[in-house]
Amino acid sequence: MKSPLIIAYGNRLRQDDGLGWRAAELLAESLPSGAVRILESTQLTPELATELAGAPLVVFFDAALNLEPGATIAKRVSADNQFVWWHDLSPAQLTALAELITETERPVFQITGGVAEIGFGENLTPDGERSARRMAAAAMALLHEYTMQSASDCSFASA
Amino acid sequence: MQRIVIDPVTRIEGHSKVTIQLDDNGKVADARFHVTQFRGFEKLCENRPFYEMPSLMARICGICPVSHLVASSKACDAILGVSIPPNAARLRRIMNFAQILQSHALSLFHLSSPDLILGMDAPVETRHLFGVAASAPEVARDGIRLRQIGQQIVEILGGKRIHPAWIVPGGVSAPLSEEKRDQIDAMLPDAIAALQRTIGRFRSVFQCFTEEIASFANFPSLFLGLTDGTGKLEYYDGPLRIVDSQGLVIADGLRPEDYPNYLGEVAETDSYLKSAYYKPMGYPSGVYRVGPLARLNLVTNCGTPLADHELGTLRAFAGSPLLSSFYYHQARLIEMLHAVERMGELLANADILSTHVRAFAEPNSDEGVGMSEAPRGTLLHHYKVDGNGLIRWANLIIATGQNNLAMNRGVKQVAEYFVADGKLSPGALNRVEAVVRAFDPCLSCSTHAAGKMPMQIDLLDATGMLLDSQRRLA
Repeated sequence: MKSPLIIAYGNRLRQDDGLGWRAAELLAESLPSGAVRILESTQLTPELATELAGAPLVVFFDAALNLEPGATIAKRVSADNQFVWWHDLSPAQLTALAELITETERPVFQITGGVAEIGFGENLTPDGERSARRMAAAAMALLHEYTMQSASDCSFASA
Repeated sequence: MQRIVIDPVTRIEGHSKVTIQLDDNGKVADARFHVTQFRGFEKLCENRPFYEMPSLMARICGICPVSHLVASSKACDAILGVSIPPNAARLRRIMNFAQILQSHALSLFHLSSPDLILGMDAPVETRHLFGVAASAPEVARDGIRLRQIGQQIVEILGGKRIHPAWIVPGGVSAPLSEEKRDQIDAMLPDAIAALQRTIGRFRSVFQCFTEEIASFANFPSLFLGLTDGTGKLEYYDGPLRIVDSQGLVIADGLRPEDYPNYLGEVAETDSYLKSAYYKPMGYPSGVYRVGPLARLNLVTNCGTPLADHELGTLRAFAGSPLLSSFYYHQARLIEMLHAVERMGELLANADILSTHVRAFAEPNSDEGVGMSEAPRGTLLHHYKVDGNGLIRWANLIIATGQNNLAMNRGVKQVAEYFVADGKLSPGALNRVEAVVRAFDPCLSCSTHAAGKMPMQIDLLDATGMLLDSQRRLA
């Protein structure tokens, strides 16, 4: 069995748009090495579909423009076969593609965090950092629920 | 007169449209492939230091940035006046092959396999990669995996999949580590297996397309590409060869720097894409094709066992040279196989870990030409610099522009074949697009008509009747 897969995407050069990457870093720092597999990407491409194969749980981390800065939402992703060719896919489309080519299903979640600024810059705003910490905490809860791993060392959970 | 417009042409890289002009009897009078996007890299690079050119030019395209890195760096090598270390050339070749693998996989699987696996007449709602994945998951799986392998090799070598800055004037910026070599080497058997499965599957699929083989830009033309000097397939260096539709070599050993003597370009009024032609035969008689089909038509063999076996099988079945552009698809599969085999050979070279991978020099020439084979065909970068090494002039000749005349003829041929009674059925519409897809045009790469922008504006009434027409030449 492979490790749970975390796919963090966004643009690290646009301030809080990179908060998914930061959430993945925080999660990795709080887990034993190899406990999760983390992929970082600027956007979701079809090639990522093969990476979902065998993962017992998949979590997408992304920034959200429609959330209050610092807020997070975790939701289950359902496969979406309504495909329109474009340069990137949504988590639901990538999930559908993965299910089609691997002929298996797996629990998939998307955790998004609200942004304060997405101008040019490599650092998160304080609100972006807060979103990232909450996203990592939400992912830890999902890992615990789906893979029964301990979340006792989740130092950022109450941040 | 009636006009049918297909806008946009889908599942290609870039933005274009097709216009089909019908006569009073509803028969096809003319058809044109228009590229509707404009780029201006040849102008915006002026006054930049020449050593910035590879990274700057790579931004032309997100699909084949490595091709521009290679051709641009070769032009800069010529400005430096250096022969790069042999291992730098090997490493550049590996990255170029990796990109050919990922780009061909994108073209064949992501863009064209919906037509090939589901059929040209399949409902448009399902004629896409997801439809292929639902109908033939093993095909989609192998296609996605092959593209991923190509992308991962580019990333291992250059640090990122798109716009790696590793290929530089004078060589490459860092040698290959043992760990990275082993990482790449470990992926190649997977790629070979996926390709052999795909070739086996597609062999019978291709035979279902007799009408498309007959009508997809199926006409005599010249074919142009690099060889290794002995007639084998070559992508990185070497002289150009041109063969005719009988397979006869009409020019060989052509030096890239002499290209103004044998290649001409024309800017048309209805497209931002220039048309290249073979100068000795004039315009438009000097129509030629480049890319996978052309490369396989002009070589004696590939030079690697598995690809040679497949090329022999294809030639035994379809003859040689292959005139139908439908065979671009098969050619891509053979080239992918060759690319993986050649990467294996290069990685096995005893000196592949050599750390001598870059030559340093000040500019020693005020001009440089770099030529290589991109996934879509021969690519040329030509720069002139001033005494401070600043770019004063640049010219790019891109594969898609070299196929422009052939694509236009192909669009007309398909329209004549499939448009009936003045109507374009969904299947016919898709075939007009599919002939363009067979060439795998990259329009982002190829629209560089800066300074030459002829234009024609037609004023039509509500019935499509032409009321007025204004034409501006270059």
